[in-house]
Amino acid sequence: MISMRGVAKSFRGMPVLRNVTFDVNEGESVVLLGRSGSGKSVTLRNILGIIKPDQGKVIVDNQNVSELDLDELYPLRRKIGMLFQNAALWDSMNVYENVALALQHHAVVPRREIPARVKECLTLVGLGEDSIAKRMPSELSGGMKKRVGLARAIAVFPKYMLYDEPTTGLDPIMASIIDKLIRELNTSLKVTSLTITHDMNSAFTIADRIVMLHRGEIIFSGSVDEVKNSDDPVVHQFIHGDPDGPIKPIYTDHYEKRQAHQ
Amino acid sequence: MLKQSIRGIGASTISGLTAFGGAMILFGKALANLRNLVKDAHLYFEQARNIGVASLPLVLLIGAFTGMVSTWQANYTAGNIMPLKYLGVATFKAVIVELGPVLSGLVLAGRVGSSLSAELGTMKITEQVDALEVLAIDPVRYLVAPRLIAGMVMVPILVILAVFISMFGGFLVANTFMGVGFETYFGEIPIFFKMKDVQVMLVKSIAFGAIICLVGAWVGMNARGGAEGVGEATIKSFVASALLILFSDFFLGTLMF
Repeated sequence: MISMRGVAKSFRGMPVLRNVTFDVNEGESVVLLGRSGSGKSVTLRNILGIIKPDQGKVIVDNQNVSELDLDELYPLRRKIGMLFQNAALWDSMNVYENVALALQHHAVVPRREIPARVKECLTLVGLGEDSIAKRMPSELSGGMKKRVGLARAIAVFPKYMLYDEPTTGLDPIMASIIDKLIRELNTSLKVTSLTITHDMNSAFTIADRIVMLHRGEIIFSGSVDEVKNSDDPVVHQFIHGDPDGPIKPIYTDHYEKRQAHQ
Repeated sequence: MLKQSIRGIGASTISGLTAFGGAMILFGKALANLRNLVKDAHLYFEQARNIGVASLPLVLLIGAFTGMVSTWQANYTAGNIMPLKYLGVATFKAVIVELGPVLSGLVLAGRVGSSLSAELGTMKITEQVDALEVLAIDPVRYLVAPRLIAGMVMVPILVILAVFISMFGGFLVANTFMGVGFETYFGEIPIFFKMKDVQVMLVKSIAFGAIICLVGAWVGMNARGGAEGVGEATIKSFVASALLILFSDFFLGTLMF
């Protein structure tokens, strides 16, 4: 279970997260929605222990991440897989080496079984052809990179999966393929998933529950149907992508503040 | 105005000390990873090849010209008062303790340090370093320690080779333009040879290797922004390495002689 309890985080005096509290239950797929700059990525970084909260607790697998030192954090991170927004493949290694590195480093499976495990994971994401394993990241399309990133993340048998905008920059077909993969991994491997996205189609496909973050605070938590039927003006505007409503573009906020100041 | 200047100096001092402290912590962490040397040997060899073998032609070229210029200058400056048989000794002394390590160090700061900061900076900015962290692979163990140790081993080897080649470069000039024979040029060197010269060269080379790779790694691992951030890191790495090489050259020189 992933649990955030009253988490607050500021950067240079600018609050990014304020009293954020939500849970991702075992086996559940939760989607965290929010505008750019609403604190979604900071939430993920807190869960991974890359940054520590100023206040509150981040509990992952019954351990308080913010109190762990690096030696204690690494064993916990071995239970977490993450798909990065831009896949973050190591560009000096080919596809096989990208997927195999953590397996070799942590001796997750016996050395002789690593090729089979890599093949299995690449097949699971639809990239099982031998020729693909030898390709460098620069020779892959955006969608293929994401799928390799996904194969790399699941190769170490994670208990938890974090997805950072998994469909951003993909065409609708590739986005659907990635969504389907995420859903399948969630149901077949029973991993607990937290996804951050702006893509509403994606959110509705993969979520058991949707949580919305606005200006660093959780303003909504509910099922897909509850989100769709929500009369909260912020939620309504966000899921329908209306230009008019309580959420204003950043430049408008800035302009209004300047006007008020003058 | 005065207040602003003081504030500026204070801010620069704090940021300089913070950077120094951060780099020292990184150095300590990298050295602590020597316990994984055997397990990670392939990473160390790969970096030794990248830093050493790939830099060899450039360092040898610099070495050859350094020797040639040193011999020419020695003859120009003291040719009237110094017998030609001391040309080799003058070149040797200039090259082994000073020009060899410093010029090689400065060239390697550009060749190795800048590419290291660009490589790690790109990895940092494109979340490749985060990807290592998330997969519980320590970036210091995987990225920094092999580069730092390879630098501390390979830079002295490169400097030794540069010193050798510079002596032959010097001989080429002495022989071609001054008619000095092989035995005349090299004959006096054993008489004036001091083990301390070699020790100073090695200490300086190891220090320069550490400076180049540590600064490159630290600047790269702290790169921010996009392509501009990588470019900035590359420049910052070269400037800081070059200054630290010159400063430590003076410091080590005064300390050891």
